[in-house]
Amino acid sequence: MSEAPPPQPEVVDVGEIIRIVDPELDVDAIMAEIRANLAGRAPLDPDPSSLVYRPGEAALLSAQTELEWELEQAIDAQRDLGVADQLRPGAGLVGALATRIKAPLHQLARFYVDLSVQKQASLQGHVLRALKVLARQSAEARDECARLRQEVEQLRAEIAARRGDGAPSGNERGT
Amino acid sequence: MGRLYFVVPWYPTEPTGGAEFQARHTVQQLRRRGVDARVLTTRVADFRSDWGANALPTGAATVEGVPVERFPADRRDWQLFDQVNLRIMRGEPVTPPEARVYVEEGVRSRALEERLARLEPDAACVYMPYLHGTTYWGLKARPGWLLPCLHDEPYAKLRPFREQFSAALGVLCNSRAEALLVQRLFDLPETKVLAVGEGVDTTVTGDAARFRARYRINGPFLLYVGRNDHGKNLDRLLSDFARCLARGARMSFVRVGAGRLAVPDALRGRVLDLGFLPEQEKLDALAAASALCVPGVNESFSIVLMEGWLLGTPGLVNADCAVTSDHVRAAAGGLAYRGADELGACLDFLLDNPEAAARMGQNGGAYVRRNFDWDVVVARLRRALAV
Repeated sequence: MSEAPPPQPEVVDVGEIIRIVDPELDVDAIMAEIRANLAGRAPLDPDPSSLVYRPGEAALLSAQTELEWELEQAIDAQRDLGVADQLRPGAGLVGALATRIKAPLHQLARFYVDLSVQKQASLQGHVLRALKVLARQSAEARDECARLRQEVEQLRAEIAARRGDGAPSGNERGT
Repeated sequence: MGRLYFVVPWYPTEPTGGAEFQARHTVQQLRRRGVDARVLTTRVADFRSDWGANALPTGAATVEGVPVERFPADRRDWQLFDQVNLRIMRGEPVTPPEARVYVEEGVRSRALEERLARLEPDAACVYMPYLHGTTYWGLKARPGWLLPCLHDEPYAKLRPFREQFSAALGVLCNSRAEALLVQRLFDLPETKVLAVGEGVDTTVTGDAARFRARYRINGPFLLYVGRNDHGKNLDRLLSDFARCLARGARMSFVRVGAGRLAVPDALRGRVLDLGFLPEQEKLDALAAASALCVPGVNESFSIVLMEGWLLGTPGLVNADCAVTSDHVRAAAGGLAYRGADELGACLDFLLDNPEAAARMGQNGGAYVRRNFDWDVVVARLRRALAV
């Protein structure tokens, strides 16, 4: 005799989006049970800091990725070196008067700061472009090294095969 | 029945963002079902371009069968805009004049506004998304509906957008959670805010065996599909998964999507990074996965969660994301975890209860077909907009 089919979820209209109610599966109850079970046991690794991805930490990343990441961040930061007007209009008559007095002072300060920022941005732009060139050259050198290592491995395998026993010589064991 | 105009800041030939895809697909699906849906936009190429650069030609064009009219974007003070925008993004307080700068110096087209003011009387307009000048100024030129794609983010708190939401004839939301957010932030009556959802292709198929054979994967695995970057909270998921492994989690981890977020050392050998995959291979991966994880906290809909459900895969979502948490509860299609301990326990539950896991996948599939099949979404839109 075959088993009776499980009851099918019914459909409840909740306005525009229809909700599925499954008599055999209450996801809220499952989560409540999971949370209740977790409450009785020690939490996982209490210090997740060693596992969190933090850009810039060489321990977690290959040097190449770290270099690329830092360059990207620098280029992003370089796009916006300006500072918005920080002058807040004061309330009332006194506030309005104070704002009128402060406004030209703010403008004057911003004039010189903007000039300095422009020069700094120009300098940093050159430095970043130079770093990008270095990063590209470094990547090319790394790829070339990997290719040469692979060739060396192949040559070693060929030498070992020609010797007949496939075992490396005494000189090669320690390498 | 009048025409229906979608007003968007740009209508690129190759969409990249979620709202761009949504506009494209929604207009196309409406037209397939007999609605004369059209697009009014600017000559700006796309989101990534200079918003003041009129790169595309003025006038009428047809993009994949959709009539599009483009209007020149106004000149703008991008430096002023960028200064204010950066402060908003950082969550710093801005003054009313600065908020005004945001809507005035963003992407705006007075020519488009003139066209909107002259539209035929029986035409309906849908403005999307909420945070651009084409929507803010367009709604002033011609009342219409808002399809905001809203998140709980600093932009949503700017005063001009409060006026904008109040001025809209109604608000069309991608999810119930978004509708609740709109009601909460803008104090709008329930009748004015409709959760219509996003359309999904419910005919997708996937071949689990083909995926497993191709990538030589035998055991259970947790799948992540999406950009490999910080925006989707993948770094936190990797960290949580590493902690689960330390306690003996029995799944491996497969990630699919472009990007190059590094894998922590603790996960080396346990994460299979497949990078960007063709669409069908992605669907095969979804069909083969023991669970699909959507760790983001700022999801506005999550098409991939829907696709996973259509292929029978349960969803594991971040409990701190209102949208995806609401989806899994409404669908009875998965679990919403918070932190590594709960993630590990959820993975254990799914492995130890394969029938419940399968049922979650089935329930999710039913939820998507009943709610987000294009026939359903278009019917909801037509009813709301009376087109």
